[in-house]
Amino acid sequence: MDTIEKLAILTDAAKFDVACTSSGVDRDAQLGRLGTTTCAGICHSFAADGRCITLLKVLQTNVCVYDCSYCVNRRSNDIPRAAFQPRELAELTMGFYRRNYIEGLFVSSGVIGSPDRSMELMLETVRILRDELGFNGYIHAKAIPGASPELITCMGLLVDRMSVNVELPSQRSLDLLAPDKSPYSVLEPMGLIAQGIQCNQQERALSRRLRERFAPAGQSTQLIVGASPEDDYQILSLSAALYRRFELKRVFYSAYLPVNDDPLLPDKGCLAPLDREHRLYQADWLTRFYGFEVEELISPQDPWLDTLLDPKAGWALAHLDQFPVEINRAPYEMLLRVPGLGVTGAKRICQARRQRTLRPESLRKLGLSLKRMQYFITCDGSYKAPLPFDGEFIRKQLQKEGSKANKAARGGGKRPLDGQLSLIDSGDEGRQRAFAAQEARLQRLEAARPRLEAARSQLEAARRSEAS
Amino acid sequence: MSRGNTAMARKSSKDILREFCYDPLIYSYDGSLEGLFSAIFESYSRHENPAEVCPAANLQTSLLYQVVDVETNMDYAVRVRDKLLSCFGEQEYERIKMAYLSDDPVKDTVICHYVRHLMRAGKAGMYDAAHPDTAAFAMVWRPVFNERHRMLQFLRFSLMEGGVYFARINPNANVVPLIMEHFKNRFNDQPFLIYDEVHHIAGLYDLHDVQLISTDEINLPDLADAEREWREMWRTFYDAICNQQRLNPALRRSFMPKRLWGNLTELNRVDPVPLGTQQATS
Ligand code: SF4
Repeated sequence: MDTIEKLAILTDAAKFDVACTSSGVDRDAQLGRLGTTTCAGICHSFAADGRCITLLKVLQTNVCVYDCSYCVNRRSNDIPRAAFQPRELAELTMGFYRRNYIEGLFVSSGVIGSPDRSMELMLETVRILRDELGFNGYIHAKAIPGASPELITCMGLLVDRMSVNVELPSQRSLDLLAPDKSPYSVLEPMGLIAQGIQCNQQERALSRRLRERFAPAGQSTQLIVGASPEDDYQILSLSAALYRRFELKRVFYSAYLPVNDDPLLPDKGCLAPLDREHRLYQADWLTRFYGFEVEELISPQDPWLDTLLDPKAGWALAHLDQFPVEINRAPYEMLLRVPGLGVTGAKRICQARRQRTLRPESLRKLGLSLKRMQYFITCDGSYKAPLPFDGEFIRKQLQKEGSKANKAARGGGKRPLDGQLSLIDSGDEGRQRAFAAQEARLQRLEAARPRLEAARSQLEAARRSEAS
Repeated sequence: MSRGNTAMARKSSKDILREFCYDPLIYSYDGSLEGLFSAIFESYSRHENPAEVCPAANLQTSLLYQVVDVETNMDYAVRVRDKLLSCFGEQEYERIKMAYLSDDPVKDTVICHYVRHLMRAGKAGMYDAAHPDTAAFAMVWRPVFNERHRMLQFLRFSLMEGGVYFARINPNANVVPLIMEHFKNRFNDQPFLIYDEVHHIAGLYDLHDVQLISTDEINLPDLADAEREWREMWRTFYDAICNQQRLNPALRRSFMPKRLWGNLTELNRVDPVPLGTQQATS
């Protein structure tokens, strides 16, 4: 098999990992080494699905001895398998990098024999890149759950970012859908990486001369949305906990694309809950950069994000008594809470209003769009949005705007209609139906449990007899 | 940035006259940065506030205005530069230089008015984003800044026979001078040539220095042997990484404007492919 065929197979196998950033670390040119990294990252292309391509995202191999239900590469799937030689992949990365196609490499792998074996192969690729080919660009590597700590530490010292995918948002789902992985084996490497980063920072603080850095761009993880029945509240609480506990840089959400026929998963015909994924990202940003707490956006009593309205607007409409805010006087933290106003916009306003009182027409001069924020602000005392100032009315107006924007973003208004998980239908009825579907799924999962337990204990027994 | 959104559209010359009492003068200069700085210097030494500043090549006479030819004077230009550097800092000076590389037809006027505004208002003028001069300047500067970044993203090198990497670009601002540093740092061991086919500027890095050359045509050697394979590999990757279930061409267009596709290896697939591999269609 030549490289181009392998590339096709191993890219196809890697595309369900949505992590795509080359950010978080600034590294200048070094004599005799090739490449730089920039803190903001650079997207080099955009695929036809509109997602950014910044790293060469491939698997080292898609051979896998595990059998996670949601994964294309599980051992029970009959698909073409391939594996890169470490040197082959390293040289491919260099070739792409030199042509300005990519910022670097994102390497992950199936479990080829054992987690350690997979880690060793990836480690060899990365070592060749860094030590032999003098590659100074960005590298993101996966830690395979269950790999030994030494390998993970070695990897951390060579790459910029590491990640371990949690994939499923609860222990129960993980048990059912990824029978070979225990939650512990996912969280353990995550803890190791967090520790590695912390120790390295302390050491560097003590000794300026220490050049070695452990995963300087931090670690991230991915959660699959819609493969298992967790609600948005559970997912967001889990990410909040992960951010806190392991100081993650990013949690990525991946709308589940049905790739396998499995009684425990949404049918192959279902479309991915893209709207839900989008809202989760928005909520995630709000908690990280806009000073929101998860509990402000969503509660156990009402555990779903509104797919028709962005979570910030949802919060604002629920707290209409705090609006409209006066652009010239509202504190920065409050500006951040105005729907339609981002971090850049809020900063620009703060800077400009120090010089003069902002009038309604000034906002356009600052390059800000009034479409959404006009309902929530006054500018030098005047309220420019259509009246009345009333929750229901504003909601309708915003949804009109939102659906226009959505249509454009989706290329012609095709909405995913997922009978089970998406909450497209507005109003209570749709919500009820979605809840019922959730319940049914939960029951199905519970019913399947004994079968899975049995299968697993068989597997365990087989392994033990193999070992002895 | 669309053309209709230029500073010109927001400020017609009559508005300028009415609102800010400019003198009904057009300063015409030779189009160089030194020339523009000389014009700014002249406006002070002649105690005038020109309504427009314009490169002689684009000059359109009008009954309303009197044309003043400004001669480029290195001393004056240096004095303006030093003044800007000492009062507003390196960063602001770079921003002004960046705005000068814009293709916007009113950039000269906008820069002149902005610099005069800065001199009047001091550093506060930089932050006063709601002031018409500052706002107009931002509208000229920001597209250049964005275009520069797009070139860092979407420029594609090809290896030529003889070992030089070559890239052709078609930016909507004259950004070659702004991107050479980035590529020089990144690819310090590979000689490369970037050719801007719109502004006819070539940037050359020969492992030691960067040179900018103004030229209408360039003679290129053939593609290196393996180059077509590399392109094919990149296209293979590009096609394979896309999730067919999530197709969203409008979103892609918004990040990667169509006007740039001609020079993008993964989207323009017309170059001949060697026998045996099939040409993919987008
Ligand atoms: S271990 Fe990874 S590659 Fe293997 S089946 Fe599970 S998710 Fe897929």
